[in-house]
Amino acid sequence: MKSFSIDRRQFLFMSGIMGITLIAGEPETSIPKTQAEEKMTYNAKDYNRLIGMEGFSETLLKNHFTLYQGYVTNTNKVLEALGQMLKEGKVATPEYAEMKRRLGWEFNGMRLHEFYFENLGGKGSVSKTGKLYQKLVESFGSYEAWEKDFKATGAMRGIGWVVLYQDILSGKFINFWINEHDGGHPSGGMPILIMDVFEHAFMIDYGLKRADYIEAFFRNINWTETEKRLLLHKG
Amino acid sequence: MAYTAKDYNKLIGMEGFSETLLKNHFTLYQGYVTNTNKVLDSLSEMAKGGKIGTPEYAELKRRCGWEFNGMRLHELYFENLGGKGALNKSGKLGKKLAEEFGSYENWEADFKGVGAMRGIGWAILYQDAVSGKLINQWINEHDVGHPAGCNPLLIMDVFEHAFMTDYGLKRADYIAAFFKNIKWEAVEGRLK
Ligand SMILES: [Fe+2]
Ligand SMILES: [Fe+2]
Repeated sequence: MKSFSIDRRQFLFMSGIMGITLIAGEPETSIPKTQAEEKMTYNAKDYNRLIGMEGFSETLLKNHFTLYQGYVTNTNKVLEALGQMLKEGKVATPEYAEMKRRLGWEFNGMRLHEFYFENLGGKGSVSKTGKLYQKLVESFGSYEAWEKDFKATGAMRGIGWVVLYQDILSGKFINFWINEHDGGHPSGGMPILIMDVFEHAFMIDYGLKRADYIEAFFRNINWTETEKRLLLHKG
Repeated sequence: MAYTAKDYNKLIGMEGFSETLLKNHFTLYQGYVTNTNKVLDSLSEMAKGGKIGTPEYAELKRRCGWEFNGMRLHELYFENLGGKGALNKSGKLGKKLAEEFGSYENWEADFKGVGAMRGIGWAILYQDAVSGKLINQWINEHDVGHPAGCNPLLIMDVFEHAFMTDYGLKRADYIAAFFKNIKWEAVEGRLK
């Protein structure tokens, strides 16, 4: 029987991207929070180092960071409101149900932006001797075939993301279209390369020319980062 | 029976909307017309070719609601723009809004609140065709949340392309500009 295990390096990486930081906040309500709850607040990370990247204006990046921070704030807000409703016995309400539905959208809006900014800021193309290159050739026949499929997914009519996912069980690589932030994630999959194709990701710099943005994105991929995300235990 | 894109160039020059933004918006609209036709054509080809039970047919059928509404909502949106001046509060629509929401101001605050929601989509003042009731509705993207058989009266686009070129992240400023340019006669004319 196959079992899922992660090595230490993978664990450290995964806890790193979880972005959970220890902060001691004052409880805002009369119902006291547990210690664990106080610690579970997401903090926005700083991606200002990306400013200056070729093909991305400072205005676009700064707006994008602000939008990202909005997702962090709202993930915290939604989680907090849900926790509050739970304590107050309001779980059987439409308000609870709708907040719970919205959680997937806000959380992924936060997390995908982190993956996205973290796989940017690189120079040069994928290392042909690296594991990722090898994997892409195995899954798609050639690196070029993968790139063509990834870009075509990114050019799809709609608002969302393209994610190169590694299936956690089989290790297989698949380019997925994610609608908005939450529609279509493969359960348990490991996101390897993430490209934002919301209009805010390109319109200020490229107008309607999404293909030009995608080219600029490819020139700035941080391949070293994507390489680190690979589930190495999968062959 | 193919759909043809309508010409909304008369809106160029509207206060608070740059020519670049409007022209991009018209191009996007034309894309929805083209793709509504494409999807409908492909679906009828597949039907003729006996391919109805395929995933390709099913996915195009799903997409049809998105493309069609992308076309139609843009038409309703552009057609309720280009006006000057506020709603005549003693007119049919003004009275109805006050009746349903307590006051025109309450309705406006609610409509703007819908438009400010986090997300990509549209704010629509709908008239329930059965009861006559007015409801401000959030439409996710183009296709999710339309109340069946209801009558769209006032349509506001809150996709990022509708404001980002002119207002960056300041969606509220765009909404204020939208309100300055509502063509209330057109909205009132949609009442049933
Ligand atoms: Fe984004
Ligand atoms: Fe639009």
